[in-house]
Amino acid sequence: MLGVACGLPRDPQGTAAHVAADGARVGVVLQAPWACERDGRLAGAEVALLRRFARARGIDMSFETGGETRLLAALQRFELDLVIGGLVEDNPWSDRVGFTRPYHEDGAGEHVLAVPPGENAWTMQLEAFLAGADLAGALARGAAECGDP
Amino acid sequence: MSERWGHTPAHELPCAKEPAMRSAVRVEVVSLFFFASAIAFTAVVMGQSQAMKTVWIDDMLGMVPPIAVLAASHLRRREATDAYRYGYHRAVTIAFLVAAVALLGFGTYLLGESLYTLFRAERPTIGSVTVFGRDLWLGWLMLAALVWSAAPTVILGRIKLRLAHDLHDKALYTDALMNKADWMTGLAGVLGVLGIGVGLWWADAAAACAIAVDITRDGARNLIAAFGDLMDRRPRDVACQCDDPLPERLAAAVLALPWVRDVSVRLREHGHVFIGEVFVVPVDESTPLRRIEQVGALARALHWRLTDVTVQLVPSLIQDTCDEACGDA
Repeated sequence: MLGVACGLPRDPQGTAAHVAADGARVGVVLQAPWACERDGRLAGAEVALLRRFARARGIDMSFETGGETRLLAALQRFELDLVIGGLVEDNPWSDRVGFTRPYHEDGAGEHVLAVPPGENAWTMQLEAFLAGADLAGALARGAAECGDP
Repeated sequence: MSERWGHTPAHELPCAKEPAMRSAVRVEVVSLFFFASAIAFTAVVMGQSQAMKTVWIDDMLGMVPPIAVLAASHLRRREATDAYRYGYHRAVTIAFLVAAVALLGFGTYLLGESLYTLFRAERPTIGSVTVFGRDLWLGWLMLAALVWSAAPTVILGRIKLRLAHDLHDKALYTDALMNKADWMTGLAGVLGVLGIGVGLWWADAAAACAIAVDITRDGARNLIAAFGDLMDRRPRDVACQCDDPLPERLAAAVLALPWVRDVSVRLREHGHVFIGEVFVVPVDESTPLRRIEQVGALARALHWRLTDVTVQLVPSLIQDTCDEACGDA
């Protein structure tokens, strides 16, 4: 309650405000069933989740695919606002970029989304959305769209 | 009660001081349980915060002095053995040396790590947790943990300080001082977490630096104290940090005896009590045994801390040495 009242935490770099104004720049690591390309269009469980997040908040999203290292390095430099694609918490980048808290666990590990380091208001927005998201539906959809690896 | 010559007595506290010692033991046991809870709480909520990590290690190091005091309270009851004829009081000093080195080492390490975090501009990401079905910023829980680990410690520190004065217990005194200073650690941590909250990413690492400096300073101070004890420095009063006047008082009391021409007193601290020698120059050579016993009784009557004092009658306070024989070759 106090936190809501004071508007804490805030982002040092102002990512949440910038996303609300200009849309989110999302880096996508292609890894089925979390993210894949199908008929020239991005699909997959995490892509579906994010599209729902963007619709709910009324924000634009631009996607950019690439290798994990290149995308996470761009995230660290605040050139991206989010990186998705089956990332797990046990990742060597964990001290250079931020992770949301795990929202799903499977054999690969505890799944997270990567955020710019220290952008805590933005991180909390994503975590709040993930906590209430229809995960089973998104996973089923991802498996159907990308084909089970 | 009978004592054997050449064995330092184990029961060193006068009966009047026993209740204070029991309170000290009780307070230290409470401290241990409390620190354990603070360590567990902090471990759960510390996340990526460097300041919280520093507070966590500070809390763990804070368990060492209570353990040392409790160990000492058992060891002091132990009789001196043939192998350890001075008793076991020194064990506490060794514990203190180890604790001081640990504090100094961890403090330096944490300071280096915090400066490195600051220098590399690493930003702590602190997200949310679900508590009772409600999403809460983890920072608020960190603040709760900081208050939990700091506030009761300050109160415990004040109680320990009073008991340490009463018992002349150095281990307890150092513990009390560290506890009393804990509000500064807590405040630095609170400022660090609030700083993260308002979007100052560097506040966390800066707070961690401040706490690390405090740990290092504690370590240096304890190291100097342990060094003084192991080197048999002359006794110091725990409260005023000045030289204890007891050696001079003992010398003056002995000098006031009618048969004493001159006296020299050398005392060192062993736990709560003083051990040492009284060199007495008598005016003549009559009744040496009775005179030695008289000085011993005088010392014991003067203060309860003077339980194990060796009295030696000497012809003069200046001894002839063999300078001619050894040097000038």
